[in-house]
Amino acid sequence: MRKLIESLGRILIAFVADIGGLFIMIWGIILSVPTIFKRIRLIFEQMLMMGVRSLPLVILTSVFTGSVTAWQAAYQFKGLVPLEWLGLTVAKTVFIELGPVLTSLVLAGRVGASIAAELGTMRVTEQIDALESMGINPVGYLVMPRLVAGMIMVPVLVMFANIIAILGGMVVAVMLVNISYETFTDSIKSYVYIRDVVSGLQKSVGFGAIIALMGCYNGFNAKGGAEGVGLATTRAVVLASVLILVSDYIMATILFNV
Amino acid sequence: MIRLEKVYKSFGTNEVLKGIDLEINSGDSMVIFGASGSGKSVMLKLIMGLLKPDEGDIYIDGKNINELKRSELDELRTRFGMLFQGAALFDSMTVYENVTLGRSEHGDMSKQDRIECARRNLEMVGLAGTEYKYPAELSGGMKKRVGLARALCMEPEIILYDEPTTGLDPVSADKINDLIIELRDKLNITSVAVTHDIYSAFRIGRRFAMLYEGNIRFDGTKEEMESSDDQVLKDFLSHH
Repeated sequence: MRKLIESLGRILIAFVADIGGLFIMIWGIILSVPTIFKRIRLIFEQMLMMGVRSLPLVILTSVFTGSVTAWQAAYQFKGLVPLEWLGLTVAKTVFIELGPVLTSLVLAGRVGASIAAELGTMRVTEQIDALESMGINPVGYLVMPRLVAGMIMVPVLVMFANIIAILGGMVVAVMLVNISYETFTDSIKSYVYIRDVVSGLQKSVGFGAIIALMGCYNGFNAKGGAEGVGLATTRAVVLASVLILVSDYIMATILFNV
Repeated sequence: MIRLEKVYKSFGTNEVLKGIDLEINSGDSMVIFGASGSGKSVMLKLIMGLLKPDEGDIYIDGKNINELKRSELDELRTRFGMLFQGAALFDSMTVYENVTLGRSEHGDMSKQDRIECARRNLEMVGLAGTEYKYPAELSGGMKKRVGLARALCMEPEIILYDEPTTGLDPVSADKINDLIIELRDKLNITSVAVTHDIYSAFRIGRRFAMLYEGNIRFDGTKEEMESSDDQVLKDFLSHH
């Protein structure tokens, strides 16, 4: 019993320490905002790494997301809902939910892991200490550019993902479900509102921040050698994925009135 | 002057430093030695403010570094140079970018002066012409020398060396020792080195402190060390 209480206590202390550490990092980022223009080159480098280099993966994921959404919707509509609503269903689902959430989950795996591995390696090889020893604030130099890049590039990638997914859904609808192109697009034009698109993008700004913060925080706190970096990477991906799903629900309740 | 007063540091249940008192005067060439895992590198990181002590105070020229604001600590750190155990070069940067990073970040040197600073310091460490190589293209000894050039580019008043010769072949180790002696004698920079390599310690140091079980077991000159009756010190020296 005593051992159980001790281990629960240790978990609680570690959790509180993590929350505290995360808030200290966020405070450090806020304090380094005035140096944002000095870091433009680093921000662009990160935008290239997170955005441009993730594009092929995002395109591939979204083609299949759109296609399967159209196919599954057609299957569920059969005999219950007219197929004229297929375009609307695919577009609304993609804009509001699947585009932002699935793209962010894919990016948590690709970008979040890469950030955690890079910063974790820098931590265990004392490169972060070396920055500090030269009087360079590592949060301003390493974390802030990644956070800004994440908050800009995830919504950009989500926009691409939305367009590709809807095109993928349209191809399936026109070629396999035998709905005309006009029927598919008319329902989108009539019933998809700008609010649907914007709210999805708003969510993805938050998801971008979560991916970058989890990668940076876990990488910064990596301990030991290769094993520590591996653990930090896993934690970054798992925590980012869980937080994306939790915050998705919270943001949905705020952004959409039922 | 660097002064440590009753400094304690633990990691979990492992008490590494148990009330360290040590003074290092300007111009000193101090070597802290002791067995692996005795807390030597931790002491250097505490002096740099990279770690915070659990108890006790560390003063640099009378300023308690635990009471400094982040910006004041960053300012103070520009007076230090540190050579890390594994050199800690930035993999994604060239040698030139590594050496001049501190200067370009602080914006206190023109690009032309930075190029000159890198050239001069790389020449000093015997690596002229390596400016556009990446760390992955360098040997362990060369990386340490680039690390030293990076520290020197900041024109430090105090240099901290963390195991400067560990992991190097005897020839490369001697090159590093020669460089440290040259810096000590020519530039009169205060230096603090931690090492378990007694041969290197005797070459580069003028004053020696032995760290043993979390305390300073011995503090004195080479002559005092050789004439000491302390059995623990004698054992350590005879095994190295």
